[in-house]
Amino acid sequence: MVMTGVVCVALSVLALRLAQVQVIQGGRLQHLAQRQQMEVIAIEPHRGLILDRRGRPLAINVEATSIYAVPSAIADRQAFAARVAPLLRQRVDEVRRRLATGRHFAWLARKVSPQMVARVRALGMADQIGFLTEDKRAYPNGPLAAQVIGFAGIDNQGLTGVELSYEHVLHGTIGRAIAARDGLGRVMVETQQVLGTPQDGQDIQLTIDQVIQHIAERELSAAVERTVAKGGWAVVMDPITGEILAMATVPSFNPNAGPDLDARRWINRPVAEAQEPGSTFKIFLMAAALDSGVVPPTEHFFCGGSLPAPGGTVLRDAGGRRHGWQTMGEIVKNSCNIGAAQVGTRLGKAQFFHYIRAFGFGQPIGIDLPGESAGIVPPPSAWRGPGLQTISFGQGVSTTAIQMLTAATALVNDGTMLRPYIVRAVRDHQGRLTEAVGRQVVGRVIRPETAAAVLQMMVGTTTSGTGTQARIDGYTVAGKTATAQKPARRGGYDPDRYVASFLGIVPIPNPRLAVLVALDEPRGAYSGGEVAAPVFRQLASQVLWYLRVPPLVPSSTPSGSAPRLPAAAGTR
Amino acid sequence: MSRRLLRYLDWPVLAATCILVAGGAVVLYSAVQNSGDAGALVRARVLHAIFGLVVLALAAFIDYQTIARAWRPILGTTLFLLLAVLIVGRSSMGAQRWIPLGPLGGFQPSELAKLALIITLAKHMDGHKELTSWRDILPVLAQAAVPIALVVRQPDLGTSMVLTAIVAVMLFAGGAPLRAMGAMGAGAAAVAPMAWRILHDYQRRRLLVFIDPGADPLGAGYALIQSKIAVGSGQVFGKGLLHGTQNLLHFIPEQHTDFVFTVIGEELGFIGAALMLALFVVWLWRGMSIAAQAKDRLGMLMAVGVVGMIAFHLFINVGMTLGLMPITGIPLPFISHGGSALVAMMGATGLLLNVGMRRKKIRF
Repeated sequence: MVMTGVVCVALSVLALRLAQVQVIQGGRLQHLAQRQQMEVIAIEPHRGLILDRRGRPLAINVEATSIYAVPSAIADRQAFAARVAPLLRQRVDEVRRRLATGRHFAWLARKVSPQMVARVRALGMADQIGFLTEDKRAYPNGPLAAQVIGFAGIDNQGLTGVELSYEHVLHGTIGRAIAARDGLGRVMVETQQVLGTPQDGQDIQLTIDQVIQHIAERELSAAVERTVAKGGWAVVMDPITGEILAMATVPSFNPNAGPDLDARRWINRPVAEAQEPGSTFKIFLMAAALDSGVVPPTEHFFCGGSLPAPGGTVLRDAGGRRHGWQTMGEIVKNSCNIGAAQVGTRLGKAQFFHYIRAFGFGQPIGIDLPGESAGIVPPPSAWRGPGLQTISFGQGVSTTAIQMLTAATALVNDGTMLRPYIVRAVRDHQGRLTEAVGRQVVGRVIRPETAAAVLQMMVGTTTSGTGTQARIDGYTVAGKTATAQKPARRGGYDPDRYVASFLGIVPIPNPRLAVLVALDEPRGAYSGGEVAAPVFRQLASQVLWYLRVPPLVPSSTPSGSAPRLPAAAGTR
Repeated sequence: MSRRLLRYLDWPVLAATCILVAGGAVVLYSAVQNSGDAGALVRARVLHAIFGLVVLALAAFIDYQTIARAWRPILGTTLFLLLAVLIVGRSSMGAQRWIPLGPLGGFQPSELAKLALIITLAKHMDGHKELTSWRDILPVLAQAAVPIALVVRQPDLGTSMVLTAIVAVMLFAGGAPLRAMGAMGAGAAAVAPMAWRILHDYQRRRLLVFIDPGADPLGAGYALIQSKIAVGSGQVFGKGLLHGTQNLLHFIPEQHTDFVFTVIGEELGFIGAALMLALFVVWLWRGMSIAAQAKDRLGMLMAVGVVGMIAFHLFINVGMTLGLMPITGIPLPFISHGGSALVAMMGATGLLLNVGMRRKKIRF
């Protein structure tokens, strides 16, 4: 009887427990079972290519092999690490650390050389080590336009430049598959079911022209070397469309070499860095003065070499020159600070500030590149002392190169400003055009007559002013030099650190190029007219030749007697 | 005479046994279906089952009185084989349990020890009508101690627990006073810390994770957690025979031996598992009634020993799969992989039927 009772109780316990596990907890345990049996596999799409405006590749994908370990299949991790580490050129504890990152999968080395793969394969540890072929981003032109294109990380994710700002377009959609996983965590490929196929990323066609980019970088590098400058930047824009044809920063870097380089070189300085514009800012002062009607175009201003200014300071012209009585055009041509300060005084803070903002300064211009700086334009209430006067010749505000060029496009577009852009078209992997970008007008800033008048003042700069070294045979150049003192760390300005720059538009009329060249802290000759203007001439003359832009004024040295043919169509 | 014996043959026990063995073979096939040598394993099981039926028939038809009289050679052979296994035995899972038999596989003398112990103790206690004094009990304990010690030495914790359970059940049925049972229980508890020392590391970890399975979910607690997940995920109706995903994907260790119940639970669901339990209920209920109606004290003790052994196996094995018991290597009777165990269980069934067939005086 007692035994019967014991057996009855024991069997009842088993039956109740069975009901509890299978009926009551069954749903939850079933969920657990499914979760541990299913592995979601991401199927990586191919990243879209980056091409130049003529379809030449700037960023492509190549296949590379990555090595992973199966930690659950490794009995002695120390011995494994000791054996594998020398082949991977890693430390033993680093390999051990990697083994701890996953139960069934741990990366050992990503996208390595075929030689390393062969050596690791020769170990024959097929249970513990696996190999995967992945896409690796490659930049066939090395450092060319590296700051603009940017680069992608080890997981093919855009980290800087266009690779970052167009990540959503380039990356594509990850496909998903599920596969059964066994008790050792191995994925059983034959059970794989694709839930969503990956969508390859779309190809991006830049407005950059590889050849113009190369010309810009070559001339800029040569100038940086010649002047022993710390660096330099240059932007070439089509002033009629707003397309960026070239954007260069020197020194550059090789994006193929991996990210362990001086990160400061990744900065796309024409977009991301704001500097005091210096005398180039005078063209916007003149535009404001003329457009507002405050200063009649016939007005003359006297430069005696110095000028007492509000706040008890005395402004002096660079080199203490006396320009005497000048028209506004002569102030621009001679880059006269004293004259500009008087124009600014006449114009007044409110008017000047209004035009500065209208030209897009102090706010991001909206170019499709990451890290754009807004520059700094203080409100008029903060223009203390001679603030109005110094801003009139470009001290006390900061602007980016792209802002300066963009504002200058208003001068050749009848007073309307364009939005600059770097991506021309987006195509899916079958070549269908999914997005095409064209000329985008931001809005009217000044009247057409004002634009024409200011442009004419800039022509004077290169014919007989500070920018004569920017002259190009056969073409009329409108330009403006700037030699901006760099602000000292402790306030005020350093006497011997300059940014020498030149902004030029060519040819006039019917401009094809707007170019800004800047050299950071050139040694020896440092003025924009002496240092930057020649770079502009070298750069622009080669690009004009490359674009087959016909000279409009008869060349001073006619090349033979053959009749000049009209310009070839469709060169833009 | 055989016709009269057949009249009293306990058909429910025989039927339950046959269904469990046949159904067990199917479940076993499911458990090993993608292991590569599934065919060989199932063929071996069929051979073992046929051999087991022969042993069952022999154990049923040779009068149990005759069998009991042969207790000396039976026990002697068992002890000899248990000694031999320690010397020539094949090692598996850190223990020496097998005597290699060439193409027939291996033989586990500890399975034979279960039968030998039942027969020996029944015969001995039949000689002592009373078990009231320690003078009567101690010789029984001494007799049991030798085979148990040899099994512990292998070490085979599960089987030694089964043997101990057999001793306890038979002593109780033989009339040992509760006082004495309590004293022996206390003694066992006192010895337990010593037993801890002779355990293998893996056995200690199993006991520790039983208390807290989450302590080492990927190591020692793994089997405990995974078997519960497998059984539970079968829910009410199961995933269908041969379609248990936990089973197919090898989430369960030892799924064809000690954890075969997970395959039943997962593939056949609560319905299938409850059906299996019901078959065992029939078996045990009939077994106990056979013990109650046994012709003599010897038959009663034999039947009690057999019933106690099967009940203990069942409860420990299923209990461990459901997380009620710590993990010990005790197979599920009639179903788990293992020829020696199957033959021993069928032999024990034969003994039970033997007692049942001869339950009353044969009237002419």
